[in-house]
Amino acid sequence: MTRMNGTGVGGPAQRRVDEICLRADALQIPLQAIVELTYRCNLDCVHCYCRHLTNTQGRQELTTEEWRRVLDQLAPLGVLNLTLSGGEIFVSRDFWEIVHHAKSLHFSLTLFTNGTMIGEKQADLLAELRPTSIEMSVLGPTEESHDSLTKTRDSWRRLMRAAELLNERNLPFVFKTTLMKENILQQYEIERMARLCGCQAYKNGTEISPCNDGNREPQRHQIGQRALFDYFIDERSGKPVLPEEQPTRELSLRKGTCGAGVNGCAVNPYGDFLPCIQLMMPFGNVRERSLRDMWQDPPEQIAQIRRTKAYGQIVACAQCDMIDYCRRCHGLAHLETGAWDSCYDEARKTAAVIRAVVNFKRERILPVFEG
Amino acid sequence: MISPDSRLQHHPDVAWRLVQEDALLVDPHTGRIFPLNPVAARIWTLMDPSRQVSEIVEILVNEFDAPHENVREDAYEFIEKLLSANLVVPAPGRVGKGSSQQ
Repeated sequence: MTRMNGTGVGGPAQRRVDEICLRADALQIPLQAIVELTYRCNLDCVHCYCRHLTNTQGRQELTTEEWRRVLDQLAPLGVLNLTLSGGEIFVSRDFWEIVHHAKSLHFSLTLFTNGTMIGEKQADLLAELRPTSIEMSVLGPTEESHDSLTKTRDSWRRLMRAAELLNERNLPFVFKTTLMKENILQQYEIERMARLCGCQAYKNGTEISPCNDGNREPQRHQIGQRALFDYFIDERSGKPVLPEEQPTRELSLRKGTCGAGVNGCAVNPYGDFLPCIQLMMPFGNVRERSLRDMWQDPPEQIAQIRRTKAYGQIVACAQCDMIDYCRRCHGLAHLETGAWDSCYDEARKTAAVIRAVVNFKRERILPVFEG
Repeated sequence: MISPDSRLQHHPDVAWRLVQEDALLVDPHTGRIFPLNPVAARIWTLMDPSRQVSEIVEILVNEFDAPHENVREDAYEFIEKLLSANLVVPAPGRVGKGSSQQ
């Protein structure tokens, strides 16, 4: 009989977790899923990709009963980590019913929220629910700066109150910031403030997605290449890990693509079953087919994405001089160009900055960026 | 300490999923992820308030065709670890005499 060691209780568990996750990948078991309960929101953030998406073409959001059925099907697919997102999750009338149903199915729950609708009662209910993580967006270090980006008065004050209420209940939360033209110079002030508020972790990022309908309005707020270079080069806080030196061409060609439609999936408020929240190429709709059917018998384009395991298998990437530094996203490529496997502007711009950072670290030559 | 007639159940906050014969557990109180090998995962899925630890051991002996004493020793060691990590708790109401429930 196999001994039951390697249980992770006090042992070196991470390697075993990685092995199991790799096996899940190979078996196409989606350990991660995001469900967007609604696109409706009580804020109006300048960079939001869900803006303008409510009631598009008269489509109806899933009902509570339909969400329950979605969750009932996600669990046997193998989903462990379930993120509930929006819009704003607390705007969803039946949020508590849905989330308690999710808990009964043993998902590890992450909640994305703007925090403004968390009062005493919601904080008590969250303490009882005990999600694995609560992630709240903070866009500025002060009321004025935050509210100007959410375009909603009092959003800062209510967010700070939420942090206080969660702290009082020993509920860990994460603060996260989308850095953009308007707040990039305040990034360390925001982080300092976030940590003073008692967040368990803080993270930020600079990527801004177009709206799901392809509208690129949110990207007007995206920082330019020079600011992105400064962001990457400053190593004061947890930035994305960049290569120390140029990888070999062979390594770059073998670089793995993302796990969209392989180890992850998403469901939007209208029941579209997607490979990823960013990739608007549905398997189908939950109102028409079961999740298992759609997962096992995907449209040809998604099957093609699944077969594409490495950058070198994407024609545009295999020929590209930026492949060593690129962090492509099939979803952004699809939104920007209409084809998931094409090159796209934002990927090239970011890759150029990463290349400049690597060169700067090696040769101390400051790059010149256009614009 | 657990005894043969202890009855245990999963901590209600623990998230988990089988991945083929292995399992992954997530403790939301600590954020830790626990990987379980197939035997440990089987014990996990057998753990139910209606089942005594001794019954779990019997099932394992039959399924894994291993000496009773070895299975018992391994199972107890593993279950003690789960208890001390608060991933399982004594089942309410019908607690074995050796249970740690007060």
